[in-house]
Amino acid sequence: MAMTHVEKSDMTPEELWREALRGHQPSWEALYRLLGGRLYQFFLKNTGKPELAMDKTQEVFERLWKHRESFIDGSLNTWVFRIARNLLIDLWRRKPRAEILAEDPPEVVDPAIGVEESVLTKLHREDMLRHIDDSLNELSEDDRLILGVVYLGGLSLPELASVMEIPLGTAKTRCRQARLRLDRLLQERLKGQTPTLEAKETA
Amino acid sequence: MNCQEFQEKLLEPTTLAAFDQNPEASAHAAACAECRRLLEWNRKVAEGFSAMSLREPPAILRDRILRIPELVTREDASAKPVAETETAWFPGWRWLSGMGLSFAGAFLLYVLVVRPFDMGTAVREDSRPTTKGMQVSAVPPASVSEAVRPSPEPVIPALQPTSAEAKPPDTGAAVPSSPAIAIEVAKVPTVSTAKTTASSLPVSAPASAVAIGRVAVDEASTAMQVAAAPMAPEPKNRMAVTENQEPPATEMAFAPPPPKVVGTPLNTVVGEPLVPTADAPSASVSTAAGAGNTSPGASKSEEPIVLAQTENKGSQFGLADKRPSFTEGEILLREAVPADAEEAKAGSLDDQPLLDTSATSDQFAREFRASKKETTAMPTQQALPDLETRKERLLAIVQKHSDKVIEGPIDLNQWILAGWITVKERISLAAPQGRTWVTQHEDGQWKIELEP
Repeated sequence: MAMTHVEKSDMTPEELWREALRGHQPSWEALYRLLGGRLYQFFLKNTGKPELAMDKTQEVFERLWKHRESFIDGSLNTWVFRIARNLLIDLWRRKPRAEILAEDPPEVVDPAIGVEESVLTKLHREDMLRHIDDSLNELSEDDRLILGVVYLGGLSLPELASVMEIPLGTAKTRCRQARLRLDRLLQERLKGQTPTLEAKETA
Repeated sequence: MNCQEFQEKLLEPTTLAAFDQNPEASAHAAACAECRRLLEWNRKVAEGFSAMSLREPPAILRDRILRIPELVTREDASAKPVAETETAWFPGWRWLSGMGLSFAGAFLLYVLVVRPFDMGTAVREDSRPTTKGMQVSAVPPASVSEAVRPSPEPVIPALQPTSAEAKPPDTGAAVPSSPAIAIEVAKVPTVSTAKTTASSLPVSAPASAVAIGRVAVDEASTAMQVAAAPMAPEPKNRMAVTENQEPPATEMAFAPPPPKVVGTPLNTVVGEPLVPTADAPSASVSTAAGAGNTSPGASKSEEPIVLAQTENKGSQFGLADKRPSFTEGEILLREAVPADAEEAKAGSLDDQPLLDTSATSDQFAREFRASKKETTAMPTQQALPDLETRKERLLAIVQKHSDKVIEGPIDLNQWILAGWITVKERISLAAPQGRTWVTQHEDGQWKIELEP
């Protein structure tokens, strides 16, 4: 008897994966509901093209299934987003003037942004979502990739290091810098200010 | 926990949700307003990203992804048929591979069956400089053409067509009455070689043909003769001579530039024993190997005979591979004999065996002497001027050189050396067999008498 959706949601991605490998279609569908939206948004925020985001999301699942024997243990999220990251880098490399991520970006000391209480109390969830959408478009590809893996994919910093194939310390630094630049943009938007070119360059 | 440790943990959204369960973090947030605002801010941002990830992608994507396992499994299942299909196109090209194999087989057949004959020829030609045996047969020009014409045999050595076709004037056109010489370099005693030798020899040579001789000086050629014997009879007019054979015109195609050929005085032919000496290399010496060499003794001859300048025979005898010896003069004598006289003599030479290359020098000398007697006795009186005419000519020469002539038997060879007469004149002025011209000086007048 096939398991229900509720039952599936209680399972970890790895358990769903194992069930899907046995030919259990609901487990495969549950994996899609768990990862499909994240992957789609990840590609959508990094490419800005819904069709391309759909194709890349589908390609991730295709690779996942074609190379199903390659995944033995570990984090399925890490594996999935590593595939997504590689696809994204391949996509960038095909573009003219593609921005290749620096393996060891220079350390930038960004002071913590002060958050005003009034802003926080007025900020609703939908507003934050809209500002994040707009701010992500103004970030660099590197930052979008980092933030997408961490916040859209829900991966931890060690998993980020594994996906990005960089040391953990470098992953923390990159994540912190990307997050600070995003916060600067969000704060400026919340204050009704449009970030200037100087602010972006400083970021 | 201080502010730095607290803010580091805020970066990681996975730990953000569990901040409330962390007593140290909760205590620090309660004590630090700044860290509390940062905690709230990060929660707002995380909620925003979470709301973003919960956005439903297009429904079409769901359908496409849910079909992936089925499609991929179907592709995997069809992988083998695809592979078979990829190879299935090959049978359509089997005819091409068949053609390739056919060509390869034909080439192999050519190499194994046809090529050996060519190889025999090539070996003979390539090994020519070290040829130890040489067969020389004189045949009339027409016979040469027939001999060298490509026969139905699978292989005709390049030597024959090259020599005969490249130098037709030398063999016949320039000197129609002179004998043309066909030569074969017998080097490799193969069946093909033997066949070629047999086929190149005219079976029915004209009566006027002059067979100068054959030199067979090594075992290879001897073996080849033995092999060729049952295939074709030896020509009638063939005689044995020494190894210093006149190089035939056909050899021009491959012979090196002719050296200056000198000959031993003719007077050494008559009286001296015909035992090969150091000056006259024995028959065991390769004729071809001696091409271009001149024996030391011969080079010291009083009057070298440049055969290339010998009247109409230059085109045939002025060739390479000449070694002076007494046989040259002999050959010249034979050359000068009219054809009918030679034909009369040919009958006695038909059955002369070829020189045995394995014979010792004494045997060689005896055989040569035997052939020599017949050769010297060959000139008959039929075509020569009559005795009176010869006597008048001799008398004229004697009177011309009266201050140098002494009474007694006339040695025409000395006259040749002195330059009084030519070789041809010596033949035409020769005394009949068994008799000798004798000069007498009486009353201031020279007389010529024929005495026994």
